[in-house]
Amino acid sequence: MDLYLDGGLPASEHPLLFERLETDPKALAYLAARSQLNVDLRRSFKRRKLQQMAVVATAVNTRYDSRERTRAFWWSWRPLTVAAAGIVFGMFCASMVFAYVTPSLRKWSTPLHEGFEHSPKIVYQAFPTAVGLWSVDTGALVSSERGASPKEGGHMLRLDPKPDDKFTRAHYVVNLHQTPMLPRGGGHQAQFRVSFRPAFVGKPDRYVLRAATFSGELAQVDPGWMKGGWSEVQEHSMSYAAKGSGVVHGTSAWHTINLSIDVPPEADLLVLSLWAASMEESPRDRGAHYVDEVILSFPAFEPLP
Amino acid sequence: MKQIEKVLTVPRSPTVSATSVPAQANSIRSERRDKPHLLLFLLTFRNSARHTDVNHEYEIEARERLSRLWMEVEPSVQAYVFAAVSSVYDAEDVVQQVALTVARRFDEYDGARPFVAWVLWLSKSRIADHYRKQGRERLVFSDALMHQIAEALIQRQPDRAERNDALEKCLDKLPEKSRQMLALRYEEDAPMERVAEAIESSASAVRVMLFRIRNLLADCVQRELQRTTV
Repeated sequence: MDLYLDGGLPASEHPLLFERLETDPKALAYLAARSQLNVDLRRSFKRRKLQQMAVVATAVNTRYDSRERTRAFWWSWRPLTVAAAGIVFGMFCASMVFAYVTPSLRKWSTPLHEGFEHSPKIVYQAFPTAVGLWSVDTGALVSSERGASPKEGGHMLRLDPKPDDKFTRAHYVVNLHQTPMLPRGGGHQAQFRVSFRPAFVGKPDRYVLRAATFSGELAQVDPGWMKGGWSEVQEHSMSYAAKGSGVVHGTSAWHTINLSIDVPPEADLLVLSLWAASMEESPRDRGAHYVDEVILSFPAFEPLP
Repeated sequence: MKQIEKVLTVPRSPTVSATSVPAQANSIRSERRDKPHLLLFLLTFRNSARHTDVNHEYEIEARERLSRLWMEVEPSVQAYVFAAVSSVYDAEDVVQQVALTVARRFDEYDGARPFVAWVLWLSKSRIADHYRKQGRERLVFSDALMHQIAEALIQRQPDRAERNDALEKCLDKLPEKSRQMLALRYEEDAPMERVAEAIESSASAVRVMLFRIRNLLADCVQRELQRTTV
């Protein structure tokens, strides 16, 4: 509803909203209340701005009137003014040097680097039940098989096809408060990188990465949000990013996808979602996929000496 | 009630026709921000040409009454129009058109009915005109839905003043960053992307944060209203 009032709801979703408004009195009351609140906020902020402008205008007039009287006073303080300007200029120069040097201090913090080498904890269900746990719809940890070798190391994760859905998904949840070296008090950008490859060459394969940040506890995150439409996850998450990619027909090489996501300072959890599919209508034609080298990293700053 | 009857029986001046009013008003349509003063201007204009009229006093009463009533219902009209028209600027234009219609047809207003209901009924036609101008055959909302939204807003009209006072208190309690976001969004009419840029975040994060701030404010206003009632 808020998306609609903010002008962010796609026109294709309008009929669904209008249908709900016609049948659900609570939804209708909510729309009226929200629209009213928006209007009240606009009026309040515009009034505050007018008041502020009036105060500033009064202050400027007062200063203009007294300028003549204060001129003699300022001339007597001229040496001190020059000294103050010198200090300000010095601080500016120091800031410029700091801005030049700072990028070189940047390092990367990697809270997740999963090569599936040391038997990570995996639950075979829709969504992780705890932070630091993998969930896989259906699949297994494997070493080399069917002519496919891990991208690095000796193991990889196999995502098996599902009869009722083209996509097989894996999820992982990161607790942002347990991530070392993250700059506190400011937003930052996470980089998420995953390598996929199909088990069978020649199928129309498609891979998707999704990431979303949430505030609160893991139990408050509905697994359906990560599987549902973009509007669902956008409505409930603090930030959201997704990238899909097809595989060149006939390629058996590892295919790496990168995704960036803004992590707001208020976020508590980062949920990573990996999707793999053979876009075949018949479940019998769908093949398995392998995943390896899942890396999540944040730019981090070393504390200054 | 006697006063209302007097107002309704005010004869029209032969020197200024009703149709000349919108022509004058069109010249100030571009000043979007002056809506609350629009009717005052219109009525002042009408009145200035007829100061010799024997019903001068009644005209002044009518003008004052219309100004007062409009000030009371304007936020509800805005809420109604903003719910049906997606662009802020288009919605402001439609609200101005409603104001013009109300001024032009104020003589038709039946004082026995709530003013807000009459104005929202007129607003529906102006919203339909807006969509017609855009080449759409019918309203985005169905007729029944427009009626239901108007009903919901009419029900919220009585405690508007208390609600506004409560909102001001609640805004003062918000953290500075939240107020900054709201100021960008509502004072500057900034799109989500610009708000996101200003607070160094993403547009989707801003949407969620605004959603939460509005929830906080709505809850706070409700609590304040309950406390006032107690």
